[in-house]
Amino acid sequence: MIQASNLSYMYPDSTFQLQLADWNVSQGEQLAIVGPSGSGKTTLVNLLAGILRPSEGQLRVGQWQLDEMSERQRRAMRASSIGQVFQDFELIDYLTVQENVLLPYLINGSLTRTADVDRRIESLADRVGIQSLLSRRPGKLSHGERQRVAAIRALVAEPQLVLADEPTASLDAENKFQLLELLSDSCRELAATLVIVTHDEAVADRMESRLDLSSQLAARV
Amino acid sequence: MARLFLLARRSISFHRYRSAIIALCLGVTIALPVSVRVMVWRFQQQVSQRAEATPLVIGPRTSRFDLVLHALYFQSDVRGRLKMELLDEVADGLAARAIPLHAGHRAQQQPVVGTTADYFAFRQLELASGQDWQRLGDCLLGASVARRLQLQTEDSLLTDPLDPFNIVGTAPLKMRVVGLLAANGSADDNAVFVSLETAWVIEGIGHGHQNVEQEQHGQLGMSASFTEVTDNNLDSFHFHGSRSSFPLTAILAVAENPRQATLLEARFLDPESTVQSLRPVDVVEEMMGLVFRAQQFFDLLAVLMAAVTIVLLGLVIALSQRLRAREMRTMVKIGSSRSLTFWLQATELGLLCLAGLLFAAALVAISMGLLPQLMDRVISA
Repeated sequence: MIQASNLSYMYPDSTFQLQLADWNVSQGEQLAIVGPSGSGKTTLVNLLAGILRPSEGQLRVGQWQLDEMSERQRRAMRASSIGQVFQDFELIDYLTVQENVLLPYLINGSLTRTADVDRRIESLADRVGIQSLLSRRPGKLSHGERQRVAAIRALVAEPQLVLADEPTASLDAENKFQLLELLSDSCRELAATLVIVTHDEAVADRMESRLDLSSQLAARV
Repeated sequence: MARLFLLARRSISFHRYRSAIIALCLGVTIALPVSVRVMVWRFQQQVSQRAEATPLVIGPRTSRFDLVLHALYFQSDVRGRLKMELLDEVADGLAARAIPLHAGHRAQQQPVVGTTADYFAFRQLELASGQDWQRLGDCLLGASVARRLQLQTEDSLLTDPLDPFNIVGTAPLKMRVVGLLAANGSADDNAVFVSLETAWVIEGIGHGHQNVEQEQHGQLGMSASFTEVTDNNLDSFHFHGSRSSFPLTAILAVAENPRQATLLEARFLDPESTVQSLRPVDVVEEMMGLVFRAQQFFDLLAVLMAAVTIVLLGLVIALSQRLRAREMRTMVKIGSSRSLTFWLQATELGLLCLAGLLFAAALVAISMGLLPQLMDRVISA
């Protein structure tokens, strides 16, 4: 699913450079990316999502060669094939829960909302127990409920790759493992690859494998 | 496009107070200068129309504006008087029509205009109910006066005292309402019309030999003296002096042809004369020039206000963008283009502008609906 070779990224006007020699992730694999703060975990996730383009090297995600794609192509790939869960969930306050889950369809013309999509939302919402909350706005939800909304937003388009950047950082133990279980089970059902960035050893231990950036060539230039 | 509208509408309704304030500010910024311009234009139309329908005004040599406003809108009184003999002179040789006016008194603060039946034909005034003057002391009410004072035919109307502090002066006249005029959207709607003779009685030139009626006024137990013309005392009313010397406040003159008009105007060119003739169109044009100069000042204020509003709105939008930066970043991360985030905010702003325009249109429509009453107040003041 993921193949990186001599991957390198350097932020403009920054001394930080992420470097990854060789890295492969199989389809359907569930792994954690760990490392100290500033080691490039979020940078790597942004590269995988196509938000950033590698400065050097090759990076392949599924059938897409990200280092050769334009921003528009990476955007389309991201919308159709990658689900993301953000640390602070990043729900849109003025949209209902259902509209937040449908956000990828609202902001990207390459995705078309169909009856199947609506059924999928109902099914996922029912599975995580928020079906009665679909017409509410995020401001009226508890922390745990917002977490679940963010998760099913990442899953609704049936992505091939799910990226979660510190998704459990602000959760208590019960909600933390509920979220992990949801992501893990759903990805398994979709045969999707799951990548979780985390500081939490307990979370990392639950993944099948891990990438420790502190032991890679994450050199400060 | 539908998705953009959905997101924009959701954001607007979520931030309803901010959205309402923006739409309100835009609406007022647009409505104010538009309303002023439309009102001034309508005012100009109405005033010009009235002036054009009155070719020439002859009156005492006083302020030109005062004379024209008095003759066309019965505002206040003019300094000085004309004599009836001048009316005969104008009518006999100089004009096709010479219509006398005596408009120096009020009844419950409504102007009382003494004139002849010729005035109603000249102004194309028609009766809505009742009949013409039958005798001395009768009056016809303009439509707005009747509505304002809630008077019908057979009711009575008392003139205001000439001098409330002079208890031995001429008593007010209790007039009989014999008819109501149909509304015609002019200053005539705001006047009480009486015959010249009745106006002279009010002035104190004519009187009857009778006991002045007394009427108790309510709780204070005060008595108000007034004169009333009845079938019993009608024959006792008379005038002292020669009719040719009786006063008028203005004469409306219509010449038969341009030559006659020139002669008529030339008759009163002598600056030493106590009489002057005016073409209301010229005076109104001069007056409107002043109004337009004032309007330019208001236009400047409106431009300044618009500039300030735009700057403030720009600040609100910039702050809003800063607050929404995270939301836009989320959308880009999920797969939105950066241009979409721009168009989303542009759509939202467009909808707010549209709401502002609609609000402005409503405000202008309301002000136009209130315009007739406003004109009444301005013109009848």
